[in-house]
Amino acid sequence: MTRGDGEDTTPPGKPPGFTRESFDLLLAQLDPDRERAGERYETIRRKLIRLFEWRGCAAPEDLADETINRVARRIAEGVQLHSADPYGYFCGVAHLLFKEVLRRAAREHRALDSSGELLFPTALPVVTDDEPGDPRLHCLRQCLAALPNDQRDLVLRYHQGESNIRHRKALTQELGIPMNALRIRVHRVRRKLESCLDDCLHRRDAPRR
Amino acid sequence: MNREPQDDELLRSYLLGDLPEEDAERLERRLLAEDDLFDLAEAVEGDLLASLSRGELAPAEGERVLRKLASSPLGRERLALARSLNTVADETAQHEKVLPFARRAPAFPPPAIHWIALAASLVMMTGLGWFAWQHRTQAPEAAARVSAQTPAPKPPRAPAPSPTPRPANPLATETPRPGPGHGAPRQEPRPAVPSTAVVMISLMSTRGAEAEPVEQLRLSPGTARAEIQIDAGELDETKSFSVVIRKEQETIWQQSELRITHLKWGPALVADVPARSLATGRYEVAVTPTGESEEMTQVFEVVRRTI
Repeated sequence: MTRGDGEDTTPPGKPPGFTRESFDLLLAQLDPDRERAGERYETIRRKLIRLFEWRGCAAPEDLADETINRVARRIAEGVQLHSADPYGYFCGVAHLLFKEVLRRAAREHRALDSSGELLFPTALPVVTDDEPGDPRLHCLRQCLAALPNDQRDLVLRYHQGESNIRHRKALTQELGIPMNALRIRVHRVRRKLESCLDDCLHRRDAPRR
Repeated sequence: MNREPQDDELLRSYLLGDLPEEDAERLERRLLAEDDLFDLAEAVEGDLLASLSRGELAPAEGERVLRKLASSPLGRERLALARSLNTVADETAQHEKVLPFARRAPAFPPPAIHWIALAASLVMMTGLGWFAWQHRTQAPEAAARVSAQTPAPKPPRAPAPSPTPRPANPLATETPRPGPGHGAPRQEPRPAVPSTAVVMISLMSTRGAEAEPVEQLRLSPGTARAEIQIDAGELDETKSFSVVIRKEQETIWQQSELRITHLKWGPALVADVPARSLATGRYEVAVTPTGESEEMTQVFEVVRRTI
C-alpha cells in the first residue's frame, strides 16, 4: 500500500487476506443472525477506521482491515469472542497493531532521519474562505434544500456564527433535550449532508472525466 | 442518548491527543461498544472543525485540531463541510432570521402584551376617528383635487423598490402555515378569531414536569378546534401512538393509531380536539406507543377567553 507521496506505509507482517471460511466464522461469532452479523461487521470496521484516523494513522482503512484479518485468523484458530463484549477483542488487537505501527514509524524515523511522517503529514491544510462560485457551496445548498425543514433549520441554527453558544442553549431549551443530545442530533444531519455532498460533487465532476 | 455531561470533555481531550494512553485505550473500548458515544465523538469533532474554521480557537489549539483532525483527506473534507455550513448558516441568518421552533414563538402572545396591544389599538382608532370627524368637510374637495391632478395610468418606468429586499433563501421554499412568526405577505386578511387554537407540548419526564412552566391553550369564543402539537423528536417514527387527554383522571378525548407528522418545527403527534370539549382548567396529555404500556405524559392548561 502506498500513500500519495510514494511512501510505503504497509503495516508489518501483512497477513494473507480473508478467506470465505474465516469470514463466515467471524460473522458467526458476531451474531447468530447473518444479516445482523453483517451490520455489526460494517459498524466495527467503520469505527475502527475512525479510531485509527483519530490516532493520526496515515492509512486507517488498511489498519482497520488488518485488525479484522487478525481477529478472523484468531477465531479460525479457535478463539471465542466474549459474546457480551465482542468489541473488546477487536480493540485489543487494534491497540497492538497501533503500537507496531508506532514502533515502525520510530525505526524509519531513525533510519531516514526524517520527520516520521508515517503517522502525521507535515503539511497542514490551510483554512480558506469559500469562494462565491465554489461548487461545494452550490452542492451544499442543494443538499440543504433536500432536507426535511426541521433538520435544515436545526443544522443552520446550530452553525450560526454570532452568539453561537447562546443559539445552542436556546435550541436545547426549545427542543427540551440536553446539549450532548443536540450535538448528536446535529451530527446525524451533518452525516446525511456529508454523503449528499459527496454524491453531488462526484456528479459534477463526472462529465469532466 | 443522554450521555454524561463530562463525556464531551473527555472526547475533546481524546480527539486533541491530550488523554494518557491508558485512558485513551479505555475510551476507545467504549467507543467501539457504545454507538451513542461514538456519534458524540464525531459530533465533538465536527464542532471543533466548525470552531476552527471560524477562527474561534486559540492558535495552539487550532494547530492541534488541524494536525489531529484535518490532516487526512477525509479530515480535510470534513473541515471543508464545516466551513461551508458556517458560510451558509451566516448567510441565512443575515438574510432572514432562521424560522424559530414553535415553542420559541408561542401561538398566543403573553397576556400583558396582548392587553397593551389592545389598548394601543383603541387609542389609535379614537385618534383617527377624531381626525376624520374634524376633516369631514374637506374630504370631497380633496378627492376632487387628487382626481384632477392624477394622470391616466401609464406603464411604470421601473419597479418600486421593496423596502426590505428578500434574497433567495433555502428556507423560503416551504409553504408558510398560518400563525405568528412567518414573514411571507398574506393575501387574505386574517379572521378576527382563529377557528383553530394551537398549543405545542413536549413530553417531559415526570420528574421534570413539576419544574417546567405549563403550556397554555387559549380558546376564544369562536374557536372550533384545538390543535395540540406534541413534540415527537424523541419518539420512534416507525410506530403509531395512542393519545389520551384527561382532566382530573377523566378521559376527555382519545385517539389510537396516531402517526407522527412533520411540522415546520419538527416531528410531532397532532391531536385535533373539538374546542367545545375543553373547559378552563388543567389537563394531562398521555402518549403510549401502540402495543406498549408505558405512557409519557405532560400537563397543559386551557384558558377560555371571554372576548
